[in-house]
Amino acid sequence: MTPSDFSDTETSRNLLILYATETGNAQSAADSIARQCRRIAFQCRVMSTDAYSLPDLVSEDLIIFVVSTTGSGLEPRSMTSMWNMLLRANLPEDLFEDLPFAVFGLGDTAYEKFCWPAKKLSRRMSSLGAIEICERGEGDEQHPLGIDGALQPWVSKLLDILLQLSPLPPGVDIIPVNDVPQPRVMLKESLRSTLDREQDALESDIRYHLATVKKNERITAADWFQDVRHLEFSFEDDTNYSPGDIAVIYPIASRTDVESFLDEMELSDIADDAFRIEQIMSDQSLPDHLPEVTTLRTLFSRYVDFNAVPTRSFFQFLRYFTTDDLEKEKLDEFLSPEGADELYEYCHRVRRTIREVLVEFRHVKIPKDYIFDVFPPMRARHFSIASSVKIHPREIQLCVAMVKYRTKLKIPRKGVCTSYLSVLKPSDTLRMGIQRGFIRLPPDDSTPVICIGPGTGVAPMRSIIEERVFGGSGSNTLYFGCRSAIKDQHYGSEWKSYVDQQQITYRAAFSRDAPEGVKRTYVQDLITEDAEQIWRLIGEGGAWVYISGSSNKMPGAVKEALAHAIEIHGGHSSTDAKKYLEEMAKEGRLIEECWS
Amino acid sequence: MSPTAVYETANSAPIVVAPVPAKGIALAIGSLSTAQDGKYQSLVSGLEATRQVEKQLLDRLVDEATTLQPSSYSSVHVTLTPAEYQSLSPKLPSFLAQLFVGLSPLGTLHLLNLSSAIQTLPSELTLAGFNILAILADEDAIVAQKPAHDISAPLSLKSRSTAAAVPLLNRKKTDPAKKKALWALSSPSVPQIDAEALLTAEDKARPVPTCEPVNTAVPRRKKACKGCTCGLADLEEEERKTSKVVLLDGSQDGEAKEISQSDREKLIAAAKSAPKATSSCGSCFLGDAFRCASCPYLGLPAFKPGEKVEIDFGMDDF
Repeated sequence: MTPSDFSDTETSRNLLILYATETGNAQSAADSIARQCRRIAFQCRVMSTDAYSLPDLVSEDLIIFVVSTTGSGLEPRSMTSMWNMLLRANLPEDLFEDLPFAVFGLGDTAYEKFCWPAKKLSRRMSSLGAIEICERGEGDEQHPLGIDGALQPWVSKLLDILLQLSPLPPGVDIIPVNDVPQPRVMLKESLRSTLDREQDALESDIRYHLATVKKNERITAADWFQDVRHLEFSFEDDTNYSPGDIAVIYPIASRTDVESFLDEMELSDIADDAFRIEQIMSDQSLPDHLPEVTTLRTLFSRYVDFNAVPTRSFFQFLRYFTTDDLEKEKLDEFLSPEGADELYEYCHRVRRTIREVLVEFRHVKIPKDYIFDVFPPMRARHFSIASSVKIHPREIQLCVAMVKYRTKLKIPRKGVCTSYLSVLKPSDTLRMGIQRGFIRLPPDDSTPVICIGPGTGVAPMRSIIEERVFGGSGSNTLYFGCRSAIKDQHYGSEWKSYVDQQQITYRAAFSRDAPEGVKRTYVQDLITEDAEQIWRLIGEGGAWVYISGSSNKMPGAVKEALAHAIEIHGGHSSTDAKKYLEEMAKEGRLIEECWS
Repeated sequence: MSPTAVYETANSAPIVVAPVPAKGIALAIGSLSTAQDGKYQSLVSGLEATRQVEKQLLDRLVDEATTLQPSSYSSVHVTLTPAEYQSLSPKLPSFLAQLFVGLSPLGTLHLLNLSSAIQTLPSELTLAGFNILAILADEDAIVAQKPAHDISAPLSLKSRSTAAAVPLLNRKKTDPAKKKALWALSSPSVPQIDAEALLTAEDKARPVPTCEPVNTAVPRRKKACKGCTCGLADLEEEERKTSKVVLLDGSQDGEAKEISQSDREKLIAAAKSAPKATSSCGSCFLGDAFRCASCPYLGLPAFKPGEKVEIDFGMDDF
């Protein structure tokens, strides 16, 4: 008997798992929960919140939410639409009255707003009448076992509760935890001819537009440690976007990289054979835009990421698929509770990639059907657009720092998407999506704006300034920060030109230009210096303030400096000044577009 | 039941932050056993300090010799012996149902002195319609809450497609079709509730990351926090700066010399000479997973003996 045989009975065994993921962890956790529920004859549908038809939410039988936390304590963007729908004040208290639900949050206790999106979600659902059947779970990256530390016991509890609410029908037993789970797909041999009909699935997604590379220029000095690029893309169609909107790009692994990887995996012989992907386990997620018929080469290039840092469950699969005793022993060690620290040191701390691990575990042979179980999906990356379409019609410009850093591993770590972007040449094409950002411009052009965007945070600030100058708006102030006036002052000549034409006020902090021993200056220090003017703009001029860039310490420090200006020159108490800022945020006059 | 001796006022109510009605009447339920060992009296005196307390014996409720008035109590406190909780099991659903009825909406139920029963009670409570507020293992107590509005039937998962209407209390219920409409139709002008106001003080309490003193000897699980105050970040930075690179001379006796990382040219020479080096323990070429802590090849990829080890040193230190 299969779970679908029970669809006619009174008790529902249908379960919807909605995940909101940032880096794929929530998605992976959702898949894991679904596999466990399957053992007690629950049939799950696993979906990203932004792929779900939200009007159906009120008709569901049972929902599990799996929700990550962004660097600034906000919900992942894929959840924002649903969250906005839930926050409406006109929803009745009994809206979800018959709806049982549970929430598992993913977060990091090193951050103050630990699992806040998950906490808010569970409280809101309860306030709308939904029935929380299981205490909220809160996974913590800081736990020795990472998220799994909380996820495993939480899922056990959930299964117990589900069995109480919906006992197994007669004749059906709980499936024991298997040695090797079934693969989520089967790759069936297909005729090469079917491949030619294969489309780039992004082609048929109207949200993605064909972009041609016009420029890919390094804008930091050649001898500077960081490689920051200014990229320009042109479009055939009239793509429209607003300041602060976000370009969505799926990276593609380099040909040579994929070639050598296939070689290491001993898959070169079948790399270009055509396969039809048949989904076996419908409760496990698959990469976005997956074509029906494809090759292993294409899968490793576009749809799965062998350069990702693996999770614990990856090592579990290695254990299943190795034949060597030494490797088995090592993997058993890594997977034991006592070995958790060692695994962390070996893999997560030094950012060792899947590919690098597979080279060391040479006897692991992964059956191709398990490709989506072992390799994480290739995720799209998001970049704030650095241009205004009004000044650059049919064009999108980006300002992107190439991700490259060192850990204890001798080979430097490189970003998957920035590696892809770094080698793009004029006339190369790709498909780019556009997503709404948080930024909105004041409806009245005469309202002053203050833009604070150090480093690559200057990208959306450039889009704001371009649009405002185009519209003839008067008061525009830009606070920029970087390390060196001559090495990494992004778009410095443009700002100078605007200043010369009296279109903006430009204040820049160069943190490493001061001599050794002198305190470094950052944007927040400039704001403090300009406190009186800041108050004039905000308190008297009703200025809108934008903060963009790293979500680490910068936004907090900037807001402190703003609050200080409001306190000293606005005549408010320290507490009231903070409240003033909070009000500004609520009114939509203080907008943050920050990323971790 | 009046105490025959003086007892210390024990603070038997665990501290739980949750919206609760102002201190209305509390119901304290005990048994002859907990009356004898004093637990019941301490419970009652503790409560009486701040509110009116009514008292009941477990047996009278379970035998239905007494029924509770609906929505009468803002909190119910139960203290029994572990054995009594055990033997209550078969009657637990109806007992909890009674307590549910007797509690006001948002009223709290405190189950004390639980021991092993603490494992099984949460799901029973949920089935009876309660929300679990806290499970306090240290105090052997569970605190649950009656939701703001009544659910008259115990919960089970109803399939929407065969929906039998759930019987309701005297309350105006929003019509399902209207609910769907309200949910699905969005108007940009509808104001939003304050999401942050949803959070309780407990929700907002800043988590304390576990910062044990750094032990330099063992493998470290915890990465330094972004706002590191315990010195781990500095230690990590030190380590990265001073980590050595190997310069191999490739002879049979495999001498490996360590040099500082800033010596760029020697680094490149080291990588070039790597193929000539042989491993003495047999594990070095396998990769970091199998290397010992003092292996000079740590951080280098796995290689086959004789194979060239290539490293991109295109990036300067920063």
